[in-house]
This record gives sequence, structure tokens and C-alpha cells, in this order.
Amino acid sequence: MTGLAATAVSSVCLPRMAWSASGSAPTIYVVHGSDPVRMLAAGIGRLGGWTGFVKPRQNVVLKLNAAWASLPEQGGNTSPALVECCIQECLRAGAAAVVVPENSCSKPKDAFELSGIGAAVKRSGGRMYSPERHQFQRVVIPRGVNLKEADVVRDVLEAPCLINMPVAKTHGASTLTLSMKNWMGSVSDRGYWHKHNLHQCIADFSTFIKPSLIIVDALRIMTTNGPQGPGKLAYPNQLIFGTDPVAVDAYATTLFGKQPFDVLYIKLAHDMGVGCGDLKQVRIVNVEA
Amino acid sequence: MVIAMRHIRTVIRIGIVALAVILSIQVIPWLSVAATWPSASPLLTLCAAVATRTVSLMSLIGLPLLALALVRGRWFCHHLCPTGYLLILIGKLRRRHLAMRRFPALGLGLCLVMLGSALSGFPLLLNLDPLVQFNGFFSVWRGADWTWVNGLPALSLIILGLITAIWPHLWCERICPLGAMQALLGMIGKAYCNVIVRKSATRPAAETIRAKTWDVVSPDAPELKTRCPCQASKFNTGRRAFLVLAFGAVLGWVLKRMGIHYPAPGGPIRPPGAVTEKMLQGLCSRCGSCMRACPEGIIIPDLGIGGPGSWLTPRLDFSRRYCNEWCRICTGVCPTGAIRRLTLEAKRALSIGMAQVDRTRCLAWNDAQYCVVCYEFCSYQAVRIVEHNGVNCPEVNEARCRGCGACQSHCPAEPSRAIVVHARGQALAPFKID
Repeated sequence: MTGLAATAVSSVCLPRMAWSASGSAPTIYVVHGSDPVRMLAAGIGRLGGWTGFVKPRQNVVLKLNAAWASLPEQGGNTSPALVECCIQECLRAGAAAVVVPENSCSKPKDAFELSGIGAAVKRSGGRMYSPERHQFQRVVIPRGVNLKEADVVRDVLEAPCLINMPVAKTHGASTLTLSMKNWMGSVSDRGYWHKHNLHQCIADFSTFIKPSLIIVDALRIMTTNGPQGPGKLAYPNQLIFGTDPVAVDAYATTLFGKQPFDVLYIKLAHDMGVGCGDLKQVRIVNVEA
Repeated sequence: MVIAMRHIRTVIRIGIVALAVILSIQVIPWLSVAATWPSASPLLTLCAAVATRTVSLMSLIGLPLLALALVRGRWFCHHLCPTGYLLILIGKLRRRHLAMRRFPALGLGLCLVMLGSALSGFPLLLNLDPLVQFNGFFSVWRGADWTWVNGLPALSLIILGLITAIWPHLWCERICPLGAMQALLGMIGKAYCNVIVRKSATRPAAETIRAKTWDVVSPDAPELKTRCPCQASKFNTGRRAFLVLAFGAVLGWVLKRMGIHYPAPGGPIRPPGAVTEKMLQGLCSRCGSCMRACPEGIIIPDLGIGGPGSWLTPRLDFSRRYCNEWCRICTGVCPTGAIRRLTLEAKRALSIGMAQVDRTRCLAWNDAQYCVVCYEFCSYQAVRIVEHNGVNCPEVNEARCRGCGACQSHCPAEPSRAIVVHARGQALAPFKID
């Protein structure tokens, strides 16, 4: 199963034509259910189990979304129940530690506390922190159009296993915030992105960062007033698993009644060959849990 | 035995200084009332209670000292006052004391002016309270983003120290209004005591009572025992005291009416719960408690944006951080009630300013960037989105804006922010509707 993950990862590095020609269409697993624990187990089971992602005695870095000082039921952050379960499973699979760096928008203390994620990480044995200035490292983004350099959390850069676990919700500037947009919580200078075509910067950064696994929390989605909310909520009760960020994000747009290319950064990332945003070419596997 | 007694006194005084420092720097998080160290001064709490016509928990903290002064006169000055002890130590640096007998005893006059002006609702000179000055000095040393402006409330104690370095005992004996107030209370207490004592059979000699009430200035300066440190001596006549009180009342009334207050929107943004601009300039004792208490460090001393009388009053600076929706710490530490206590609900519903978008600077309006960081950060949904050139652009919903500064502090526009909060007095804003 490691092989599948590896081919998926390598395929996203190639230009768009390469994967469509080779016929290795990206696969995403959409798990429906009500219990996050069972849904997570079902999704990971389809992907070949945790051992395909978690290397024994090595760290797992979990990039979730705990950006806002809002309550779990408001849908502004990743669901703490999901986070807790994920960290427990990673540790059970042999991870040395699960590290959760988050450069939140609200004050870190308030965001971690109110979102319930700080407590969930602590309970499950992970380590969550808000990165300080010295914990960022400047990297060059070779394929970046607008974003050519970025200061990224060192743990994210050096992670043997990097899991991206965003929550799906609307966003004033980027239309929707999904897996590719979630990386803004791992960089220090978000202002630069806003000043230099946000959508292009999101796509640029996605050419650089390669998560081992993406799990989009679409248990409840905020459909108005995102990203902070409070806004109206919808309850798709889904988790979206995949390794192709563009495909995962493209599917998630449909939960909001949108087309994938309505979201500009998905279109840009698709055109830059980060992944496949054309849902006709994505293998979508629905799983009940 | 005498030496042992002196040692005990010294230990107690150092202990009191340490306690006062601990209270001033507010390191006891669960004791928000005790964090208001200056309200231990009955002069300050009396002026505040009279000026605001309210008696609060804060005013009651001054009561023990008031009672003590009635019984023992200036006992607090001689044995407990931390400012006094610091000044004694500074005074010891100078071997030869300059004569200052001709310096008039101003203390009671100042005290009466303070009380008189408080009667007219605009207390003056509250910063002369020694406990306020002590608090001001120790409350300004904060870690992050400290600039010299933050240090300004420390000035009054520094000036006091300089005066003492030149003329030791001058402050305590001749100027300190709190000391004079205690002397006055002691005198009143003594008169009352005489009445009681006369009734009882065991009447002590008048000399003994006097010696007890008009005790020495400092136990460490026994040579001064012979001189008369009685600040109240010139005001023994009630008529003169009344005239000074009336003068203070008139002065307060005139300054309240004639004082220069720069109104919104150009004026300073005040912390949530602050009294009106007019009132604040008098009622604020410049003790620095709110500046110390603010966990975001956004309360800074005003350098005159609000008018000349606004000097060193608290104002909010949103250039780096903002007033958190879930925080009301500053509203609980004001010893005079210049910042009123608020419940969390009341604080969240209170608007302290109004944001304004400058479209010529705004990245979205001017440069068609996908920004609206202000919209993202607004916890009250007071920024709404309008589409312009195919890009979401921000607009302020004035009815909902709380003026918390979240938008301003996060605006990425350079060199200056495109969304800025202006003062507009303090008013209730409706809670989010959707």
C-alpha cells in the first residue's frame, strides 16, 4: 500500500498531461457516516491502513485547522473528536510522536482552548504548539509564480509523515477554504499572500508542499460568514480521504453546491499540474461507515 | 530590645513594599480586586466615590486605612506606607539635610482641593496620591513591545524620588495629600476621642494624646520628633478649610466646563467601560493599572490626542494587536471607576469605536487583490463584502462595529493600514443577528 501512496505522490509532481495520459486517475475516498472514529477507520482501511503512512519510530506532523477562537459546533476549526482519534491511531501505528504546529489567526491560547483541539491533542498524547519566529525556515518555491519564497514551520518541512486535516468552510477571500488553503496556517507571512494574488499563492505553495495524506473534515461545513463565523452550517457528515490535494478540494466544492473551477486556486493548481481538479477524471469511491 | 523593635519595623516595611510591588505588577491573577492597589488609599477612593456619586467595592478597600487614620493619625505614614519608605531610603543618600522650614505645608490644601473638585464631579490632582504614584511606577514594566511611552506613568514617582534626593522629608511632611488627610482625620478622631475620654474617668493627659496623634514623621528620623510635622496646623480653623474646599469645587467645575476635550472621531479610543471623555480626564488617576492589566498590551498612555487634560490617560493602540472579544480584564482594575466594571456580555455588546475603510489604500478596492482579511478577523460580522471588479471588497457595517481593532491590526496594506478605527464615544451595539 505504501506503493500506492508513493505513486500517487509522484504523479502529482508531473505535469497534468502525464497522469491523464498514463491513465492513473487519482482516487479519493468519501466516507459517509455519523461516528468520526468509525469513519476514520473506514477511510484509512481503504487506503491500506495507517502503516502505509506512519513510519515506525518517526514523527507524524498533523496540520489541522485551529485558526479561530470559536466553539467546535460552530465549524470554524477541525473537529476535535476527529483530531483525537487520528492522533491515537498514529501513535498506535508506531509513530514516535504526533506534532501539531498551528499558526492560528486568533490568539493561540484562545483558539486552542475554545476550539477544544488543544485539549483533544493533549488527551490523545500529541504535542500542539504555536510556532515562534525561530521555528520557521525560509524555503524557495521553485515552481512558484507569485510566491517564490516562504517561511514555513520547520516541523512541517521535515515531517516523515505529513497529514493535512482541514475543515471545509467558506472563505471571504478564497471562496472556500479546503486542503490547499489550509497551508496558510504553516507559514509566517500570510499578509504577503493576500497582497500578491491569494489564489495564485495558494496554488504556488501546493506545488511545493507534499502531504502524505489529506483528510478533509466535512462533518459539518460553514456555508456563510467563513472563515471565522459564526455562520450557517450544513451537515454533509463526510470525511474526504486522498493524496491528490486538487482532487480532494475539487470534490469538496460540490458540498457547497459549487463547481471545482468556481474556486480559482483549484483551477490554477489544476493548470499548474499540482493534481487533477476535473472530477470526471477522478475516481470517487463512496464508503459507508 | 529597642534595636530588635527597629529590626521588626524594618522587616515589616520591606514586607509591605514587597506586597505593594506584587499587587502593582498584578501577578496574582485571581485577585482582580486586590490588583487595584491604589484603591487602598482612602483619599483616592473617597474622591472617586464623591465624583462618581457611587459607592462600589473599590471604595470599600480604602475603609481600613480611613479607620486607622481616625484612631492613630499618620500611623500608616510612619509604619506602612511603601512610597514613604522608598523616599526615606532615598533621603538617606543625602547626609546633610537642607533646611525647609520655610516651605509651606501644602498637603491639606491639596487634599481639600482634591475633595472639593471631586464634589463638582471633576476630581483634580488624583495623581498626587502616593499609592497611585507607587502603582504607576511598578505597573509600567511590561515585556513585549515596550516603548518609552509605556514608561511615562512611572514619571511621577521618579520626580518624587528626585525631589526627595534634594530635600529629604519634603514630600512626606509638607506636600503629601494622603498624609495630610490622615493628619486631619487623626485630629477629628482626637477631638471625638476627647469627648469620650472626658466622659470616662481615666482621662489621659492631653500631651499623651497629642504625642500619639502627631507622631513622628519617620521612626528612622528621630531628630524630627521635636519639629512639628503637623501639616494640618494652618487649617485648624474650619473656615479656612471650607474656603479651600470651595476653591477646589469651583476649580473642578470650571475645568470640567472649560477644559479642552477633543471629541470623536479625532480623539483617543478609550478602553471599554471608560466614563465620558469629559469625566475621564479628571477621574483617571494615571495609575497605570489598566495598562498593566491588558494582556494584549494595547492600552498606552495618551500624549495629548484627547486634549491637554488627557495627558497619560489610557488610550487604545491597534497598530499591532486588538481588543479581544472575550477579555474584560481592564474593566476590573480601575481604582477610581474611570473604567467601569463590565460583565462579559456588556463588554461584548459595547462599541468603543468605529472602523473606516480607506478605499485608496485597500488592497481589494484599489488593487483588486483577494484580501478581505478584515472581514475574516471581524468577530462581530461588522465587515460585509461587496463585489467590485470581480473581487470581494470590504465595507463596514456601522451598526455592528465594536471598534475592537481586529481589522486594523491585521490589515496587510502598507505602509499604513487601509482600515482604521476611530473614536466615537462608547455605545451599545446590537449582537450579531445571523
